[in-house]
Amino acid sequence: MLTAKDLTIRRGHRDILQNVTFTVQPGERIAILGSNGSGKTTLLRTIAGLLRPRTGTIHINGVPPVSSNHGVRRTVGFLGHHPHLYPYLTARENLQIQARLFGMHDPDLRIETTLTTVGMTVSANRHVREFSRGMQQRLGLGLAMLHSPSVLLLDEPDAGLDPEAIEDLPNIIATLCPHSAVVFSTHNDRVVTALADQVGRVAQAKVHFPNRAAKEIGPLPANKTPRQTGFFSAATTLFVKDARIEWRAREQVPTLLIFTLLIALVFDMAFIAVVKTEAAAVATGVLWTSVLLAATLGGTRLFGAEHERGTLDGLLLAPIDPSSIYVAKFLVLSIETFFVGAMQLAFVSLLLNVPLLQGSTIGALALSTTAISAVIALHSSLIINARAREVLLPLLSIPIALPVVLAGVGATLSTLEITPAAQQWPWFGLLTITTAVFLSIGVVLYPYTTR
Amino acid sequence: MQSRLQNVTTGLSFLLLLLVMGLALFAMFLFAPAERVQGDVYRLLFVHVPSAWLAFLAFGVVAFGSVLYLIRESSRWDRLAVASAELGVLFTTLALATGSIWGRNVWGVWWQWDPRLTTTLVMWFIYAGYLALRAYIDDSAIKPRMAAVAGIVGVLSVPLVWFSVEWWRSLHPTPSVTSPGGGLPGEMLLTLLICVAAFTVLYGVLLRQRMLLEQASSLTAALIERLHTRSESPPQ
Amino acid sequence: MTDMHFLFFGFGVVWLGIFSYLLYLSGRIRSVRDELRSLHDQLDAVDTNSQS
Repeated sequence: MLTAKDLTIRRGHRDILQNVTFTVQPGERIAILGSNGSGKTTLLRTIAGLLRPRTGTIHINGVPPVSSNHGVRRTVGFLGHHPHLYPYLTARENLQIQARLFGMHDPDLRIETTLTTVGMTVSANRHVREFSRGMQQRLGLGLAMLHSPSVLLLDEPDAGLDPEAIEDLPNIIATLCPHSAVVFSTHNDRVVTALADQVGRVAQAKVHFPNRAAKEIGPLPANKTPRQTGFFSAATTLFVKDARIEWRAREQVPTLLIFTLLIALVFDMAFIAVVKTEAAAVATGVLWTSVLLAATLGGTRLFGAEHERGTLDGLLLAPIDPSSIYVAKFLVLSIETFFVGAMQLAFVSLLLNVPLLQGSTIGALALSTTAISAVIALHSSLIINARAREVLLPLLSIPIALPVVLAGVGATLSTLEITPAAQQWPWFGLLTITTAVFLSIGVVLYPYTTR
Repeated sequence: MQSRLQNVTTGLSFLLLLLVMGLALFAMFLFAPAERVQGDVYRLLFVHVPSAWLAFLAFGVVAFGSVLYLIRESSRWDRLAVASAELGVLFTTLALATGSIWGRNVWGVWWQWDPRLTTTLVMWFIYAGYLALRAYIDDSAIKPRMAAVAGIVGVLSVPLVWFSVEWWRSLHPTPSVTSPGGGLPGEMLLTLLICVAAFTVLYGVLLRQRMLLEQASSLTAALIERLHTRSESPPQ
Repeated sequence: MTDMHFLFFGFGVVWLGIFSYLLYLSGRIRSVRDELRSLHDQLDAVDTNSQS
């Protein structure tokens, strides 16, 4: 059951909606109609917990959708303007990720049922980027309903659908979510006729239900809040998802490898007079220029790509600790940056004749890329709504990461020069401390960037 | 824009500032004696050190305001943070500039890649980045939160700058005010403290004005929204 | 450059910096004050029109 009481929702300095009160029972379907910009999407996003009302309360089965226990989000299914789909994953893989994030046990049958119901069985193993708008919308519907939510929120579910698919909407909802309280918005009268039990109209910041008697909202049923999906399980699922996407897209890493080789060649030519006597110093400069370039370029896309696709909303709607999103992104960036650094180490060992497979150098590289990635991943989340992201990210991250750069350069140089271990350990110590500090700060602060 | 009480308070604060600055100028040029080795040029200490300390204070206030904003979500704390960040950048610029001029005289160079100078420059960039982040985010609902996170992370640079002279061998003098036995003689120390007080009053006055400006800007935005709403809605 | 030149230069930079910031602040305060006045006038005009 969904209960909204005296909701006032503000955007900027204006109340978009005022004193909205309604209840939706399990199995009931309510259409919200209104002109463009009247607040339908804002209302649905607020009920889902993506926005917070200025005043008023929302309860889903007696529990607010925004809570320190993220498990409450298991009870909500949401389809926004853009389905939360990953283009480089197949339809089935998108559903599998969703199932894991929602902590579904043995989801295979449910996934197949969902694919069949939304008419995507034939295309189940095709990448979403090959789909038409209508196919993406159908899969998006399936994604929202996969975990049998108590409350289903659909923002223009008919967008992009052909007339046949629109006719099929009531059947899809009846099959996948027969007992859900459904609230949807639309501009299509046929959808209203086919689907809605009640109609609410948004006008002048109010929602009017003409055929609905005002009901006193009694005491809310006390329900046990579902548990959130485990932190490490969520982080692992997200990390594997990102790694798979990066492997299939192969956009970032090849570009960086080409730049890496160019940097090595340019430095070799520029320092040709001293390269024999100062090989370790030149190699350190080459390596660190590449690492910073890789980390910064990778960081610019890290959260930005999710935000632009709309999939970040999908992650924030999952019953997971938001910090697990940060940890997964940080891991992806670390590995990407380490890989570029390792390739550069191979280039410089060829060009400048420095030791290649030295454990201490590889260890220094691994620790350094981890620390840099912790800083850059957090700042990447700050800039997703900003302009000039390519300028902002290095301006914000690199000065903060100065201790990491100092320690990384120091550790790399000392290992390449094969100095005594006693001279190397302070750099490694500083790298370890900075990694721990920045990672902890990122885990603590990242959730604040998602509210 | 300001109430009568605010106008009176502003006037009094500027008067206080004038008095304290006057006292500081007197102390700097007429009270403090010339230094044995550097002569009169050492008097740059009386603006260089307070500028640096006020920069640290300002960035500490940014972190304080940022933490409180994330906890309380009141725009007052965001106004405090942005106002203090601007002043922090101002004072860091003054510290770097006066340090550079003094360094040219004493060391013979305008700049050295010395730990204290380098970390101070890095601190400048951190808070310039904070202001740039605010400038490049257009959504006023999101901007304070993102800036608050950046402000909290940025304060990590302050202890780095402070301790840089002790952690790494540096051309820059080690803290001479707090070192036992050594440090400044009585009149110079008193002059320095008067100058620190004067700069702190300056910081307070500018902070208040900047916060009032930020509040007025928010009010402007709210009135613009109200005007659009009234213009669009049909007559009652 | 003598010592006194450096001293003068250093203090000049400080006062220039502080006064530049004060000028910048007062300029912005003036423009916001004008904008607020104009917005109040416009709001009054809209309210008067809607009542008549």
